[in-house]
Amino acid sequence: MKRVVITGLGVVSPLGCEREEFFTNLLEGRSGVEQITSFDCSGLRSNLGGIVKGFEPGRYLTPEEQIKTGLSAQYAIAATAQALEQSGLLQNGVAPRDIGVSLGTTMGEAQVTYQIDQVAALKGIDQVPGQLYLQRPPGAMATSLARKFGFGGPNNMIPTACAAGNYAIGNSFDLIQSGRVKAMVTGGADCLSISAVYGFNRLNSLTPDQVRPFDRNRKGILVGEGAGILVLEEYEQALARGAKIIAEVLGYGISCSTYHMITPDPQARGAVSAINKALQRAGVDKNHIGYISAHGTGTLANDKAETKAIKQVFGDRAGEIPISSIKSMLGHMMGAASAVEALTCALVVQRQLVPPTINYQDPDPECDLDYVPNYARKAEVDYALSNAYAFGANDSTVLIGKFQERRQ
Amino acid sequence: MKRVVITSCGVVSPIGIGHEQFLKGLQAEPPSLTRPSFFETKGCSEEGVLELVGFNASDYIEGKGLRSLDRNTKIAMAATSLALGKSGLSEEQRRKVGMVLGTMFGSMTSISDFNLESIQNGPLSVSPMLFPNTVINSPTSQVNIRFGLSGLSATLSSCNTSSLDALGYACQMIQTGMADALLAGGSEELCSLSYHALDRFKLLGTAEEDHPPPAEGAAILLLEEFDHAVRRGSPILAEIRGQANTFAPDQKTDSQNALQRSIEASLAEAGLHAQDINQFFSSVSGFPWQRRLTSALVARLLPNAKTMRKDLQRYLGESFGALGSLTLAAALGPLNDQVSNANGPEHILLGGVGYFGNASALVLTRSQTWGEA
Repeated sequence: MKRVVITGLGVVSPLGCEREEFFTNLLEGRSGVEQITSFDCSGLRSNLGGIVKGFEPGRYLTPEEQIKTGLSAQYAIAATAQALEQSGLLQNGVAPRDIGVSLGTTMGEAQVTYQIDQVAALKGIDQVPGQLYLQRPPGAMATSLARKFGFGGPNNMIPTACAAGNYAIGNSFDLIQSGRVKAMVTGGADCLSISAVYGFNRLNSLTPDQVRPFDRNRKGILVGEGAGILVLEEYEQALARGAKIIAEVLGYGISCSTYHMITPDPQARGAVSAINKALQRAGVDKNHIGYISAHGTGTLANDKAETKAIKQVFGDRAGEIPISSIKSMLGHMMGAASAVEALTCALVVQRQLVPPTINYQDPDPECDLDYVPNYARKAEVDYALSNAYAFGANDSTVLIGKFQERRQ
Repeated sequence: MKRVVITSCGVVSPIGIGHEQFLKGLQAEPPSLTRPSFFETKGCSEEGVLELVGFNASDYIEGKGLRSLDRNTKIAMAATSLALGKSGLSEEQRRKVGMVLGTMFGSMTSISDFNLESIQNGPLSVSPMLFPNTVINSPTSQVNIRFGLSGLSATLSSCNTSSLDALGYACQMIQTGMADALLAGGSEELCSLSYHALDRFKLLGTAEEDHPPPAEGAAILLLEEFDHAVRRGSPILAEIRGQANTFAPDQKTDSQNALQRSIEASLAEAGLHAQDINQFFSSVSGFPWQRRLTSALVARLLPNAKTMRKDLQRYLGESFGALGSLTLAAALGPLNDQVSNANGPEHILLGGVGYFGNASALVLTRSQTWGEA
């Protein structure tokens, strides 16, 4: 079996559109949440969201490309450009034709979809510009990205809602580990979705102020946006071309609780299964897990169920593992969320620094683990788990390890 | 490498519901086209569609709660129910099965209806009940939940190759041990937006004009790890020997090359040579020039392959992401035809390249246990 290493990371997020800016802000416990001004939020439980700021599409796309490319794909392209630059993948030895793409999303090009429906409703369906139709299929995000960089390898779009980034990383891991491809650009992207904000509002899932994962007074999520991209490579190739290896993807697990379309399984069966599958696939002893990036949405049901899953898998040791939810700072970046969280795990194992869960004030007796409250900390982390769960009972976990030349 | 076999098939198609009826439909006269019965086509070319006329999901799915499901979900669910019904899986075995569905759009109708409600009546008027239908994985997950399929749930949405790629993804899941058995395939609904989009790009028309009619349907296959199928004594319909997908960054100049790379990679995974392929089924819709390019490539690359059922598009239509799995369901016919099987095909290749440049190929082999089941 081939080893799969991470050689590039790129991010577009509410906490910055550059990798280092993003991670510094995470460690400083800053909030990327602010008022939504791009559409009407009057009368909603909240008018806040995790909004991308300072995004400059002109750095990555020509004006003509911007017209032809939806905002979700633009975020993914910008994050890819950063990740490719860091990896040096295109500079030394790898033909773009041999590079694949696997992306996750929840809504695809949600703003394009909304625009089409707006034109159809207000002017008539025959007035919908043809260009919008071309951006409408979710798969167009992955094809736009591949076209931009000339990637001719496998091209997969995996829209498994808020766990989609993990699914895409897992898919890329499989393709490289099995020897089908030597390098993949993978992750997830979503732009701010009007329908997601309105839908979560009607589910009473929007918090009126801040996201407080695992806190007793948590009241829900805030919808966010952005993209997280990882360059994954077959280890021998990365070694041969002298790439700087950030971390290693060791395994992943996906499962399905079948409990409910929206509500997490209170018994957390799918979540437990996903973690166990990831540990088994990676061949890593659960006692060596040093950090967990939680799905941690900040809803009552999710945080309670996720805590239960972690306790069930790790037993008495659950309380010793630092667990944080970076959604407390970013909001819920939908299909990008788990990609950005996995990317964060790669930085955690590389730098041995764990980001906090901010807005944590009042412990919940039913969520009684170490959530790294409010302040980042140093920690010895050889192996990190990144959990992500989603609408439709999609449960997933990715396991990322500190890079070691010889793996035990 | 673990072997992956197909042990059951459920089809919902305008030419027949159930795999046997579907195969019979392929032998009958081409189906009549109708005007869409549930959306307006005002201002568009009126060429007709292949619609599931009179389709009633409750004829195939037991229990309540179907009303809030969208059309694509009901189609996928009915096809899954048919596949499970013929699978011989016990309740316990079924719970471990997962679902991998390919769909190019999910349900565009669900998403648009949700958006239209807020556009016309404000954000507070949207239905929380219908919100979950707006995620693209909704059809897949609804199927998982309805049938208690807890193995895993995944959705592939790689444009026209969605279901071929979903089948490839499912094979990978079985080969890596993530699951022993998975339902996989594709599903698509007819809808106003896709019809208008085809019209906008002058892709509406009849097969005679080289454009397949807009269509809907689903084909869901039960894939199993070979030993798993043998242990439970299941008949084996065929084996998936290889699958690969690639991309054409420049559609015009790279489409042929991308498809060639997919075909070569799928053959390599299958451990077969190009001359081993007996039949080719075009299974990805695309522009007419892409279909012609595919034919030319197959003639050059697969010297012993007969291109089968060139009229298939007239029967299956432009069913977008579902077309690959529907074509696979069609290919199971000749592979399992007891009358002609002595001289029938041993290895079939399915593939093609789509509107957006996605190319995919899949190698299907006649079951070596054929006749022993």
